[in-house]
Formats: sequence, structure tokens, C-alpha cells
Amino acid sequence: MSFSSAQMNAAESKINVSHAWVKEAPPNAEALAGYMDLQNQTLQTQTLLRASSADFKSVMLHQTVTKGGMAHMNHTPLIEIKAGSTLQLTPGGYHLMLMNPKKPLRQGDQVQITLEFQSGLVFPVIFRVSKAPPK
Amino acid sequence: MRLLPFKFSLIVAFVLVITFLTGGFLFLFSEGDDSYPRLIPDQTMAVFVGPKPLKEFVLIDQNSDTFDLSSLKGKWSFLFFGFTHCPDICPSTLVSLSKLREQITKGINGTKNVQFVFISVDPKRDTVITLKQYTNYFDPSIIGVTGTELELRNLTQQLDAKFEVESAPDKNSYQVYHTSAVFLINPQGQYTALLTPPFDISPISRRFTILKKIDAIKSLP
Repeated sequence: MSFSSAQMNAAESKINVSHAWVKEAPPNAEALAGYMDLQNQTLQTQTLLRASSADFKSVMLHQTVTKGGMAHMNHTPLIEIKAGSTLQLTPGGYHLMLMNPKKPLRQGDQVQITLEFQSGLVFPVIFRVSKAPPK
Repeated sequence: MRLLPFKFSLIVAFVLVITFLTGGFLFLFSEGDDSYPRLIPDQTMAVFVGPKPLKEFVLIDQNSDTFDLSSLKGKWSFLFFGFTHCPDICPSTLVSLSKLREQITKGINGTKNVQFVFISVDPKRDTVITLKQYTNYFDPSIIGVTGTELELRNLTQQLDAKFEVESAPDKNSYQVYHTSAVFLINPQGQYTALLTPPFDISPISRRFTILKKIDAIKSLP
């Protein structure tokens, strides 16, 4: 896995981001989902408050919750990662909801999404567009 | 000698039933809204002991043709309810269904009378054209279907499926909550089994093969 300068930056800030990917969607899709692993190497809980990207009209933190067999996709105000733990954003759970991509995204394309944490940490992450999760 | 095929099918039926019962399958009563006794094999596929015959419904498919109860007859159908503005659950499920289709249709012994149907419960945004583009992307053999809210409710209620359209100020940006399960209908148009995520393809495929054999034996004159 190649590390962009953004991810190096993240590693230095002690929040390590890996497996950052956007699920390729049908050409006319208006909503895509972004996933990643957030490894909190600090001693405090880290709280992801916002994500933004110039490549989409809007980015929201979302969580798919299944209640009584019904999938609810909820907007979540924040995502907490406990000290020393890794939180995975994976299909069927937490994800970044990416609305209206500015250009069609195909497998192999890359988009940059900036993550903002409550602690003041702000850094961009490169997400690779892919049909399936990265190995 | 002429009786042999009949005897053989009885033996097969017996063996299949034993396999089914010893394979860790338990008779359980569902805790859900319906009071059917279910066969629950480790949460992968809940099989109803008595399949439920579906009543008439009228929807429209991605080619603007009618999709009704008769469209389910003569084929095994896997039904999934969702909407195309759904970035997480729907794409994952359609990818799983496509893999399942590959698995159960491949080879000379593969099932030919099977269809996979994606039913949009968001007819306001999902036109038949949108649906066709969407299903084609995942697997051109998946059939996109939608309809009026009334007819969608008619079918979902028969399956104990649910959906709910969020009322949002923005007319084009709202969420749709929907059942995440997949419904299996047998070639007689009866609701036979319920599949719940995560969809584990190999066990589903094995159980489907058993179900198909049992159904074939039941249908013998």
C-alpha cells in the first residue's frame, strides 16, 4: 500500500488511516460511500467531527444501523475512536456518505477527503476508488 | 423396475430431510411480527416449514413491462428491496446477489430457472431508466422493479418487509429506510425463505440446492 504525504502526516499525528477506499458505484449514482480504518495511537479518545472534499458536493458521517431487520442510514454527528484502538468504517456500519461526485469515479481513481477531529487535528486522506475492499 | 425411480426419490427425500435436521438446523419460532415456525440454519437462511402463497400484486420492471405474481411463477426468485440513492447496504447486497447468481447458475447442474429482483421502494426518484442503469452496473441479469407506493406496500406487507421514506425539506435529498433482508420465492409463487445479511454465498448456495431438491420432490405427481 502506497503512502501519500497526507497519510504520512496522519501517522505523525498519531491517527493512522489505512484501507481508505470509495466503493465504485454505477455511473449515474448520486451517493457513494467511503470506508477506512482509523487507528488511534494517541492516549485520548479521538472524535471525528467532519469530513469534507472538493471532489463531492457534500460529505457526511453516516452509520447504517439495522433495527428489526430494517436498515436505517443515520447521519451521525461524530465518530469516536477510543485511545489505542482501531475503528473500521466498513460496509454495513460507519461510512462517509459522499454526495454528488464532481466527476464520474471509476475503479483506480483517487479522491482526497479531509478529516477534522475535535482535538484540532485536520488532515487530508487519499481514498482509492475500488469495487471491493483493499486487501 | 418401473417403481425404482419413485423409490429412489423417496430415499433421496429421506436422506435430504435427515441431512437438513442433522446439519444443525433447528425448529424455532420466530420472534418477529409473523408467527410462522421457521427452520433456522445459523442465521443464514430461515426456511418456512409451510411456504406462504403470495397474493396478486402489480409492479413495473426496468423495461416498463408489468411485473406481477405471474412473473414469479416457474422460477425461483430472490427479492431485495432498496433504492438507488443508497450508497452502503444496497450496493453490497447487489454484489452479493450477483456472486450468488454466479454460484448457483454455473455448470450443467446449475439452476436455470432463477431470477434476482431489485425492487426500488423509492419510485419518486427511481425511474425505470435509472433502475435499469443501476442494476446493469452490478449484474445485467438482475431485474430492476418498482411501482406505486400502494402496490409496493401490498407486496412488502405480504413478506413482512418494511420501508419508510424520510420526510425531508429537500425534495431530492432524503433517506429511505428499508428491510435489509432478501426474500426467496419458490416457483409456485410462495414465500419460502428469508436471507439476512451478511450474505455468506457458499452456505446460501448449498441450502438453496437442498431446498430446490425438496421442492422438486414435493412437486412430484
